Amino acid sequence: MNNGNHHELVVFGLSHHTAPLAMRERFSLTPEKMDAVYQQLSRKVGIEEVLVLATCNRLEVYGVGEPDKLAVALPDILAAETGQGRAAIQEVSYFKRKADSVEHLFRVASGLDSQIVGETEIFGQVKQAYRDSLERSLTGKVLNTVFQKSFHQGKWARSQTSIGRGNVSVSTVAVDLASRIFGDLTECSLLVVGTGEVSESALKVFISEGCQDIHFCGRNAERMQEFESEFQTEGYPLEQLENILGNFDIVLTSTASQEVIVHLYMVDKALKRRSRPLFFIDVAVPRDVNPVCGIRNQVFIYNMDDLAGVANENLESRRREMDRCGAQLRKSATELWQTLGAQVG
Amino acid sequence: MNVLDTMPMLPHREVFGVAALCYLLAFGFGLRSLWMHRRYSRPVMVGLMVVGWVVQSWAMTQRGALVSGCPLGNLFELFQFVIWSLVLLYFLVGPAFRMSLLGFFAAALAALLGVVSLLVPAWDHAYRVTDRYFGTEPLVEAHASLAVFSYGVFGLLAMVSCMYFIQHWGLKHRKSEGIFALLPSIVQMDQIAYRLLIIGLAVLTVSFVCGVGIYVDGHHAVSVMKLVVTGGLWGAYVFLSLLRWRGIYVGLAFARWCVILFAIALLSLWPVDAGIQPVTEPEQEVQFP
Repeated sequence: MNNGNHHELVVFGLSHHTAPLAMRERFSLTPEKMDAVYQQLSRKVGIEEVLVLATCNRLEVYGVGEPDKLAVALPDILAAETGQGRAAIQEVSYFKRKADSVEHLFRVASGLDSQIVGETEIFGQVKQAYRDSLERSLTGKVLNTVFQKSFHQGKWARSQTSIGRGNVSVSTVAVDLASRIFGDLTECSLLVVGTGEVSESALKVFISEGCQDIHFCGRNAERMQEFESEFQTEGYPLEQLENILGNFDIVLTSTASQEVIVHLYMVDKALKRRSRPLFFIDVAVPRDVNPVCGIRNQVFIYNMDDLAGVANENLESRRREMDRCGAQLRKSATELWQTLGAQVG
Repeated sequence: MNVLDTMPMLPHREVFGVAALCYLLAFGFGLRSLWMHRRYSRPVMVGLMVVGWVVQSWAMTQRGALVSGCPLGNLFELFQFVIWSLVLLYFLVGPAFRMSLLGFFAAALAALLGVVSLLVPAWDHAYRVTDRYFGTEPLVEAHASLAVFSYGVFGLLAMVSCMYFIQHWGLKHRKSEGIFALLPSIVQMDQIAYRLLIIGLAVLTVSFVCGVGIYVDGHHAVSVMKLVVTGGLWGAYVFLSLLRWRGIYVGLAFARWCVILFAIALLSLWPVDAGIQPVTEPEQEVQFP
């Protein structure tokens, strides 16, 4: 691993802290592009270990290797694979090294760095990213150690502090907003567009709130069958979205589509068939719903940034707890890096 | 001339002032709680409103006793009757609607109308009891009191519409703290607004039928201006309810028109008041103990 050279753990990436939603949309990675990024990174000389964490709010690469080479290679590869210029990615990115990168990972895994502070979905996403890298045999001693430790820190933060108090997930914030629009959710109809994990989690939350008239819409036939059997409900192919949109009160979209799938003409067509409001929860990045649809009085659209803004409105009351949690994570990160430093540097 | 043939300008105005103060206190109490992002105590809010309403009822009864009928002889009394009606309606339908903050908004409108009506002493002008038909013509009395009561219903409807505006604005501008978290859902408010419109329209229609009966009877002259304005208002509310029923005006557009029509309803009180002859001769005024 050392090969006589100086190796470090670094993290390079961008997140909701540095890039607005419109910018993050441009850096979203499809599964094919993700494979390509991994292939490029694994071929680079001087990179020993690598892991890509891509969520709707962040795109980060954790790498172990020669810091100078990593500092050049990581922006170059991400810029090339996302089709954006190097200057564009440099403008909205961050590069952290050594203990700072460990602390950063701890904050990410614990939800402290999340757009909705304290949300729990990121924990699963970090685990999944680690699993992907592990299966590609791209992790080594350093990444294995720091990621395993980050899972412990994430669990500690959630169980021993109250950073996650209140509405701290996209789904629960969406349920609250839906209640402000429709009141009793038991009489609401919900359409989930997309069959990913976010859709599944949102479905469960809405069902637990009493929402019974639930349907979904997607492209992936296999996942649709799974949804049909798990939720005992009817699924529609995505092509039918335009025709069925008017039947639903709440439409949650979370597809991996690179293009907008809900246009203004579709919303206008839907509004002609209904007098109740239409609530779009667009958690996809890039966005699935054209924001211009929000000009209609009866239409409410909340994207990821909006949901996070709502969830974090009561952030001030949790600030002290976040500070306590952050200080503990920093201490743990420094201790871990001191242990690892001797082996890596 | 009988002492009850005319009414002096200022009987029981202080008592009406106390009632307005109670509504103002209720509004202030609600505002303070909302400012602190807290739900207000409903018993305190309702308690203040009840005290205000009882005091106002007493003052109206005293005036009614003087004229042997409904005290609807000048603009001040018309405003007071609208306030009295909307607060009564809040007590009657509030528990059924189970709508949070309705009391706060009802108190706001009651306080506003009460204070404004007290600020303009000229509205409380004396009027000839002999020119009126109250106490002797039940149909006229029913017509007038029902018409003004329906204005109270439309007042509450306008307040529900204002609540709708605030919640709608909060949802569009991504606000969820404070008052936005406490207001009812926009769908619930839209449904309640529709029900209030139907109630108000039904009351106004009965009043209108009484009015037509009086007009056809031919015993009493009705000014053309009053006929046009009140008839136009009734027609506008019928038209609005049809648009809402057909789903053409829903949500924001419906709420907007509910507020506009209530403003017009308040303005229509001037033509109604214009039909009441003010006392000009000083010798016709009487002193009350």
